[in-house]
Amino acid sequence: MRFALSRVGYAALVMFLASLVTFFALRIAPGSVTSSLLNPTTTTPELVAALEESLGLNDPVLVQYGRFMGKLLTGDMGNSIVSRVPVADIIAHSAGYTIVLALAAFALAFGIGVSAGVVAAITKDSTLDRAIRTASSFFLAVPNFVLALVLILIFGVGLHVLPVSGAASWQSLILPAVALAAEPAALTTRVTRTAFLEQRNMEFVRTLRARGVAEQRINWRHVLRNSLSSIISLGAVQIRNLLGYALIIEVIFRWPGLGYQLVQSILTRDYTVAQVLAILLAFVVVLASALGDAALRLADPRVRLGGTVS
Amino acid sequence: MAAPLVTTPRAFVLDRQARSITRNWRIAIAALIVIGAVAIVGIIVQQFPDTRGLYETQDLSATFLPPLSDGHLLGTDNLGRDLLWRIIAGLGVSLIVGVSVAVLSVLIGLIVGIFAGYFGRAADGVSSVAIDVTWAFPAILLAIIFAGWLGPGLLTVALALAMTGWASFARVVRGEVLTLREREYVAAARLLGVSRVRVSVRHLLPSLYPVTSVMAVFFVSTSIIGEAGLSFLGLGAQAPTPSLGVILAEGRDYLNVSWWPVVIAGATLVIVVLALNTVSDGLRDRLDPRGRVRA
Amino acid sequence: MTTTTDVLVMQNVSISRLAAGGEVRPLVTDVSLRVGVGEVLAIVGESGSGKSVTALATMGLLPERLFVSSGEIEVVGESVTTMGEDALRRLRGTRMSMIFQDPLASLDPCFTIGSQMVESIHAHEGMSVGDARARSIEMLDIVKIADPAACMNAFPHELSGGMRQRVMIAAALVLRPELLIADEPTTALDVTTQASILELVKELQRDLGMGVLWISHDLGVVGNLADRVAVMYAGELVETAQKRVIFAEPRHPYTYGLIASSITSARGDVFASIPGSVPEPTEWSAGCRFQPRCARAIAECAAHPALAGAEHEWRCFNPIPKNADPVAEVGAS
Repeated sequence: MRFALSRVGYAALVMFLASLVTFFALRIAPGSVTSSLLNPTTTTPELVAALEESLGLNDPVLVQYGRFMGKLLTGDMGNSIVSRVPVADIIAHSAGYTIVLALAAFALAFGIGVSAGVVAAITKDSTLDRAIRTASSFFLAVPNFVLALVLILIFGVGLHVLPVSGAASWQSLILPAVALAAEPAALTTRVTRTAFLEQRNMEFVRTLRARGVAEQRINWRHVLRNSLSSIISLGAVQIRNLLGYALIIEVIFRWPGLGYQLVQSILTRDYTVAQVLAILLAFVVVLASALGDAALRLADPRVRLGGTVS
Repeated sequence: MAAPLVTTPRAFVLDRQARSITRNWRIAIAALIVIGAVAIVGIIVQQFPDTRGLYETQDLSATFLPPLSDGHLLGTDNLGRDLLWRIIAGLGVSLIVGVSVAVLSVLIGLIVGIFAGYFGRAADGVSSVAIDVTWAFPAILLAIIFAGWLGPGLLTVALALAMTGWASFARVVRGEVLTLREREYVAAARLLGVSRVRVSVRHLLPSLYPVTSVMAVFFVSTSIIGEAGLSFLGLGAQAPTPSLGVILAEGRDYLNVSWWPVVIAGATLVIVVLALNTVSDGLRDRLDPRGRVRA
Repeated sequence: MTTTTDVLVMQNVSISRLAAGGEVRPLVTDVSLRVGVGEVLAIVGESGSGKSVTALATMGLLPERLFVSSGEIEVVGESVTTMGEDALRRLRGTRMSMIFQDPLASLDPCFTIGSQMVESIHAHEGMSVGDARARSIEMLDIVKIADPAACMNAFPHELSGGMRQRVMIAAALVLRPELLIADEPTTALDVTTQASILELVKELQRDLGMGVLWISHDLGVVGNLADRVAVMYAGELVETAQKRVIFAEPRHPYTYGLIASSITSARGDVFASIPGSVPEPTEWSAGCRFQPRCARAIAECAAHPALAGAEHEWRCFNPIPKNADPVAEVGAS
């Protein structure tokens, strides 16, 4: 119970910090929202001043912050300064895209990663194993934006088979998801392989063999199950990174998700949107970490029941 | 005559394996030395107005020349600039940012980690909170925010990367210090009245060398990628400073006309990171077989 | 010579290790022994004698670089050394079974006892889950677990050490194998639990009519349980005999030393101990391997002795004469 409370505490702290940093950074920044709102040819200093006044930009920053947080905590996320669309609507609209992308990439990464890792472990030192390991080393070294560009080059420009921009059809999901999933898949493969090999040397495997349990069953039921704790704790870290990378991928492929919105809003100094999105991002990261931890507890009965993991 | 219950040839494969790993390591180190030399050339070239022309000179009559064209070994980009020199200069940028962020992250990580592990429960409490909060904070978010605040540029990017990167290392250091401080020579030094700071420097730091080296190389790798990515987004190097990320960004806009900037810059990046990762892995096998370092 | 009443027969078995660089190094040389139906044979020796490796070879569970380099092993009449992995798997658990030293490490921590026991059954017989569970509970009851049903739903780390070992025994015997190999199963337990496990195995062995190969370094344990005793030293058998005979008239100096060092006076002092330590395989002398530590070494010991004798065999050029120091019967308690 105390543990859960401290987790919630951390979560709150991180989100608070995220909101603070975004808020102050944007306010102090040179370049202003007014320049994106007003037509440069017709604007006058008086207009600018009036606009700033109406937006509450002349109050002390702390007051502005207080006002913002107050509204936020009562559920009012405000409207986009640039488009006047309620922020809540923007989020509702874009969140779906980001979630779909993240889930697709996650599923790909873990599906491929774990399978490849197990296969590599089972066929240890064979050509297949070495091929898998080389591939994973390679994909670990390729930054995802480079991979994204190469994919665009091959499948978009070269072969013309897949869309490279926007979210028109389900095919538009393929390239972004693959680009996003490649690195986590490679890492998962590695970790799975190592954990699997480690577990396979454990004594209980020998005992299972001594009772005549089939090797296949030992591998896919027992060894894999015991390897899960390493794999899952990796998953928790991966999620945190995945969300950061999703941002770049969304921008490259112009995938209309939250990340894309966030970057756009900061570039156009759309404070209201940017702040809420930043807090949201921090929240999701923390949530993902907490989920990862919970999954870890579930996977290892020793931890679940209050014992210690050796 | 009984047949062996265990086939023997596999054992030979195991031994051959060990040898190929060392060979990879040596290749990686050699590659890094060459790349490092090239990068240093890249740095030098950016210092003097005359040499800057090598990668800055635009020649609108010679745009999109493919590799192996006359006078341009790797071709030219959309503004007619020589790609080879742009990449060399870009490597220089990567080197500077990569190394400085790595050094900064390692330093901060060491200080906070030792502070947390060795200077009492209050210090540990505060530091741990700081570590956890920083660790959970997405680096890219901070970079975007900084860019909005300080304006885009290499310094912004470097700051953002350093300020989020140290946390994972600090965690590792803290863990190590917690183990190390139980060692007798550490306790003995304290009993003799040596200050905690001195003990840290003289006794803890040397023992932290293995995890530090592994992590440092790893940090260089991640910072180089980070800088390239952020520059790609437009938050890092600004014209005329070249960066591999910038080359990629510019190349992306003209993919249907010229594939080589993206492919060559991308390949360069991948090779650098591959080499660094191989070295880091090798170091880890040798210095940290128990896997205490987990990024 | 195999008879149909022998559960395990080993003939001139040597086990070797493939070292890095391709060298073949012997670990166990020329071991011949047999376990009859309903008989308990104990292999006694210090660590490094090769006894565990011998046991593992019988089950076909030798670790990666080890292999049987010569000799034959037959379990219930079938040749284990020449059959393939599939056939071996079918023998394991049904005709021969093994229990190990550390019951916590030997059980999968992520699955309940019940699921692991049912799995052992399902590996060989296709009975319904209900029936398999019933059988398992029955077995848990036989090994004297207080609440078998509750135990089925427990995880390994929730049980005490003694209970875990009982579970191991239950899982090993649930399909009623004819041969049970026990590799120091009581070493990790406290003395009282040790005694109760020993009692249990004795009972089971009688009731189920199993042959048991019991590995131990503890003569006290052996004396309690064994019918026959084989002493191993530095990878070979040095003496084999009926229990009473070995304790009353040990011929090999090492056996004598083992027995003597396990006798304690009323005050708890150890009477004697054997100086030196067990040599590594690389240190084995070409002559008698015990010779460096032996008080009775003579010139002939520079050559390698063969096993002499019939029912009672020993490997020594200068054995202890019959009716030498009368040794208190350590084990017949």
